Amino acid sequence: MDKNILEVKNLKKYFPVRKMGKKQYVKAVDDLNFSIREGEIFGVLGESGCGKSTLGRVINRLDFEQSGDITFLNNVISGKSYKSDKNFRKKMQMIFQNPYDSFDPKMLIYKSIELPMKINDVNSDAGSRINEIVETMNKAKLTPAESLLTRYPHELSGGQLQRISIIRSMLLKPKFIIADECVSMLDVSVRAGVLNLLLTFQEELNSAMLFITHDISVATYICNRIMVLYAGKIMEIAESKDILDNPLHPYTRALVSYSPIISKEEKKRFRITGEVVTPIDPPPGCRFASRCPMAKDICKKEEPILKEIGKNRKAACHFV
Amino acid sequence: MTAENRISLSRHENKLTKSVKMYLRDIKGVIGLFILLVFIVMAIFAPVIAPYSPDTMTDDVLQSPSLNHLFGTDHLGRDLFSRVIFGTRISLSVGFVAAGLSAIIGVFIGSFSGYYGGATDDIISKVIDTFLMIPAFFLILIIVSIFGSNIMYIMLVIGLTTWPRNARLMRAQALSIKEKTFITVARSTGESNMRILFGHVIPNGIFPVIANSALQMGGAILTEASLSFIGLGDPNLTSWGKLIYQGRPYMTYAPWTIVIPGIFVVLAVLAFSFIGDGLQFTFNPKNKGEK
Amino acid sequence: MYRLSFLCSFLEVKGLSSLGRFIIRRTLSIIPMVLLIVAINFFIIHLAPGNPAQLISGLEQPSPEVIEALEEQYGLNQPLIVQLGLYYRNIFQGNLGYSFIYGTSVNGLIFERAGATILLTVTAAIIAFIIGTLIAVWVGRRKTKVLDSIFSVLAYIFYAMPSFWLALVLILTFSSTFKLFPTSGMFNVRESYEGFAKIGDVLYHLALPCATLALIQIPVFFRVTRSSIDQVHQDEYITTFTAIGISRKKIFKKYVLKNAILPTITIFGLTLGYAISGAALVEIVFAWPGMGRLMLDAVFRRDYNLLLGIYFVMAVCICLAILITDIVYALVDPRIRY
Repeated sequence: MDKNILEVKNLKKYFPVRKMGKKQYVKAVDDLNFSIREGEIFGVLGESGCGKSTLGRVINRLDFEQSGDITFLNNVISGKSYKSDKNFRKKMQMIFQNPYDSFDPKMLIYKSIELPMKINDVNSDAGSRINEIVETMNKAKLTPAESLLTRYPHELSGGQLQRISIIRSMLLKPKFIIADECVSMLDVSVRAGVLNLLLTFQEELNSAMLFITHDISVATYICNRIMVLYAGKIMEIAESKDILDNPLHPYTRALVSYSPIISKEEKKRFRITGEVVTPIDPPPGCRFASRCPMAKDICKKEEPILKEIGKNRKAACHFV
Repeated sequence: MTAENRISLSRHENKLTKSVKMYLRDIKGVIGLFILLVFIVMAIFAPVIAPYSPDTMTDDVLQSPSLNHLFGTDHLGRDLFSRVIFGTRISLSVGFVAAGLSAIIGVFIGSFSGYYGGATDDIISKVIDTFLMIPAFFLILIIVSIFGSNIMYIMLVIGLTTWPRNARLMRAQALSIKEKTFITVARSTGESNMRILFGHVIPNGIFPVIANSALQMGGAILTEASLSFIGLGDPNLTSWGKLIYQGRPYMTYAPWTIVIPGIFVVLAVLAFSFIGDGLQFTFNPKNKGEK
Repeated sequence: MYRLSFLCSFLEVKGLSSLGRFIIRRTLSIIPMVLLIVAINFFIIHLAPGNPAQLISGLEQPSPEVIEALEEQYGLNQPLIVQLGLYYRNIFQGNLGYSFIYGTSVNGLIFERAGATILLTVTAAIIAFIIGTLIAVWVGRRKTKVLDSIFSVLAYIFYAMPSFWLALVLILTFSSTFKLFPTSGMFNVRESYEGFAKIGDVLYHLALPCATLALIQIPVFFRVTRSSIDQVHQDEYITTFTAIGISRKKIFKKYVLKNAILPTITIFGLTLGYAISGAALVEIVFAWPGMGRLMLDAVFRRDYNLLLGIYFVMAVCICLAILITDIVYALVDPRIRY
């Protein structure tokens, strides 16, 4: 059995909101348990507002949990900030959604790439840093590298910028990558290229990846396992193949049947209505109950636990 | 290294030329810059330009302007043209030093306050609001009258009382910049808060402060002139305001002693407000589109 | 901040209107500002070189009794924090201290001079408001580039003028050369007019100082009105009105003007608030017997208690002006509610 690179136990992240002077909490991430193996691509799937980006930020120590434990490479990282800690930052890198916004507009591209290397002591002298950057750029078919590197971010396209931001992260040779909706803002035509670049690096470095997305087709295309989140709670964790072929949780079934690429059989459509509820002091019971076509009385009263179902498979529903 | 230097230089030039071109499209800004350049030349080459020593007294008191004395002479027979030229040095340095100090303090306090946020930010913003509200001139006047009117004090006090506007501009910038992804990227890649502040937040947000500083240079010159006019100017130095102060008792029969130095004050303040507005025009993202 | 929001939710329960809550909240927000201003005053006294008692007295060599009285009143032998407390108490009892140089209370001195300053500043602000706004409206309506440029440049020039210098130039022109107006004072001291003649005499003396202040303030009103007219012109509903065929004239009168005039209310309020400080130098030039003149005397006689008193009154006036302006604005513009 492979070793786990990341273990998350009972992770909670609540955001305080103030309404009419009363303090309430948005339970963005509520009691999550999962682990990621070395070299694995682990997908986090959910609609916007389900807490998937918050999860990424908490693991990357950009936000801090309410409670719970996170173990990364056998070190407990929860409860610490790792602010400018080279050993930690170098090993875990994050790629963000908006490539246009991921670069300091006043910095030349090569400065933006070089700075993280400099800070994290990757290659001691400037010359070899530049060489490595140019080499990697060429490998990623971002040519002519010299000319691209000496431009400002606003002079490049979204696809170019996102590939460069992947390069920026990969030059630190991370053991663990968090990709937060990294293609959702790009044109469909360039998405495949960006994803392939990401996969190439991931393979080369043999690093694990937490792949955050709302797009089930992308998730099943690249992930080994997928965790489906709804309103801060895990609905289902399973191998991609199982999610696709035999979704158990009604929410997963809805997601699968809504995806035009995956669901070929029109008749099997599994309809849900409404929007994700913001989990502000949520009522007891299943979070998905308000939209679930299968919901019974018990769903509104009792919260289903995440049950082990078969090998490598868990789901949280009273009816599976 | 060489490749990096070679290419980056040319790109930087490119961006600079673009901004300069942008700025030159505003006629007011060009006029302001021209006046300022003339004043700077006057200040630097004062001993060469001035026909007489500014402090040499002669018997030709209160002479009206003539070819001999372009701006006439004052009550002690000193050449007013020379005195105005040398006065440029004092007035301009007050403008640069005071506004520079104000910009530095404002940028630091504003960016810290906006970037770190929290309770510190609440308190600092309240202080900024209060300082913005109360008229700085009176505070300056009281402090100068109690502590003394050395020119260093005057510049220091003007700087120390006018920073809140810069701080407010910088704070607003920091508040919006810190929400950008590239700041999160910086944190994620392990940059320290100091590095983020000085490497990303300040460089990206400083332009409104620069434009405002131009306006504040004019303001500082006006303040110094007003202090000098009340008699609170540095007793050992002759600024334009001081010239008006000295000419006032004789103004009815020698109006040039007050009118000419005043015109220089007006021109300087005018130049700085033209430049400030021009810079605002240049860095206004709205104007970027129409290339 | 939490306290404040708590208080507001409390008020809501009590059923106060939103405007009422807005007014109360704005009024409460003035308090920390006033406290800070007083603290600034306090620290100036204590940071200054020399003995605070001597500084407050303003005398070269105050008698032991004076020193003792001051030490008693301001608790000068007690810890700094107690002194600050006492200083606050004195101020909030409305006691700005005693001027040893004039031999009377600071309150009395300020009160005595306030009338002349208010007469000068309010008159100037009203004139500047009317003229500045009118020019802006006139120019804004015509949309001729030349006229616009001329007035814009004039606005820049007058804005750049030191008030005292403009005062001197006006004296040179209208008093020394044309002998039209008096150069100083508020009354003709040689005559003692009564009734209308007296009013006429004051107005005659008021003309030049008032003109100076107005000339400096007109650009402010002009610019604000001018830019807000432009702003409103760019608003989409104006474009819509033009598109559906309402005449330009009607649009301007009915919609543009109404919305463009709103920001000038703020400027008018602020001008009044800052009037005391803005008028000081002009008062000095014209020997107008107002607070500015008093301030200059205080500077030269080193009467710091009086100086700090004037500063405090001035700051409070500004606070109040801002407060009242905000409230008036909220009454006029229905969009403003917090």
